[in-house]
Amino acid sequence: MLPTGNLVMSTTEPSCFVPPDNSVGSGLGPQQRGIVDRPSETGPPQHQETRQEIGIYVAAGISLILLGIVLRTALLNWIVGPAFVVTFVVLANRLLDRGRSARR
Amino acid sequence: MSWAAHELESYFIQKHTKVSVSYLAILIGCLLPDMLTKLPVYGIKIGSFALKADVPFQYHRGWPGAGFTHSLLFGLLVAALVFRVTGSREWFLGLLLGQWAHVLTDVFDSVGTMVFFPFTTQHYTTGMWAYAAQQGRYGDAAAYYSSLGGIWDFLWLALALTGFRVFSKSYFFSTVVPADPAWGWLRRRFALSEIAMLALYRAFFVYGACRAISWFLWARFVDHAPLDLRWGGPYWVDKVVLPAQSWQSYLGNTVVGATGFAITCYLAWRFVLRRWWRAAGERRLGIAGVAKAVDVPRPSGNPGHD
Repeated sequence: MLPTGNLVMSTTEPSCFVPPDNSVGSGLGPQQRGIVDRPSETGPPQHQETRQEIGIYVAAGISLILLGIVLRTALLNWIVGPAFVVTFVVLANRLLDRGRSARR
Repeated sequence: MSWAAHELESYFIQKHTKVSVSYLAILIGCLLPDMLTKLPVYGIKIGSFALKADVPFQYHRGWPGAGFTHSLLFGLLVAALVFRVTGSREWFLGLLLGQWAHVLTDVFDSVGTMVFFPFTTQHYTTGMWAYAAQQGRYGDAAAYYSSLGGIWDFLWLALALTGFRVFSKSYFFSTVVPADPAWGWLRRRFALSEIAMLALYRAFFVYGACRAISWFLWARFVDHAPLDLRWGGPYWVDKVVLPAQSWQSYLGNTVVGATGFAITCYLAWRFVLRRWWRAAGERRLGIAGVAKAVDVPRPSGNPGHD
């Protein structure tokens, strides 16, 4: 996974990048913003959802459903519900990455 | 009222909008009419402070009350205000589409919405399921997920899933992020990682889907509410129904309301919005011109990515 803000351009799939400054959303392509393609230093970005990523979202969904039946409004409201999903996904990704690097 | 449909419809609208539009604006537009009106409808009590509308449906959808939030003109006003402040066409269109979608979606319950307020206070409703907010949050949830309202939510879930590509990482970074400067701002302001940004984008889909499933299961297995999928159901809830009205009065109100709204839209566009729209376009062209002026020549033989 690339760190946010890297301007690493894939030669096969140019679409997936996060510009580093407020040029995001200006509707301009990278060349128009004066950004020159250069060879990737860290390899092409991950465009496909990995099994780990899909699994994390499924786990977040199942947790939300089961906890939602018990907690109801306390969890199933438009602020806490989405915040639960974001927190779950971010923490689970971090834990799994940490576990993977510890095994190495 | 609709429950999960308002979260799920934002993805559907975004996918089928052919022009560049902000997803966040669509989402906020979809949630906007209920953002501040739902709490008094169900009632809230913090210590000795209690807030509850005397007549929930009147407060939520009627006039006098906060029913104006469920009108097309309210969406136009809010979108125009945001357009003036941000100068973003994408946010203007997103808020407008999202709020209008909410107004039209809520037409399906037994109270409906004042679509053409303030030109008419006529409610438009199909009566597909019972409006039961006066039963409190749990009573409403049980009624909604025991009626065609629940099916309505699952229909929106299916529609959102038909365009599953909108949930992909590549779609998010190639279409959603470039259309909206707010993502860049969010990333910088809160130091969001790529994973967190993507999770934030997908969160309302996961939440909407799980919310519908969770409440449906709760209504079946915890509350044991009988399922009634007939038009206007469920039969067991004391639903709100508006007084019967003659067709002449209905048509008369509709002609007045639709005409007033159409004229207002035309005047708003003719004298205000068109100018702002052009200014936003010129600003964008200006940015493009500056960017082109500082463009560095590309090394020969390197394929372009535009």
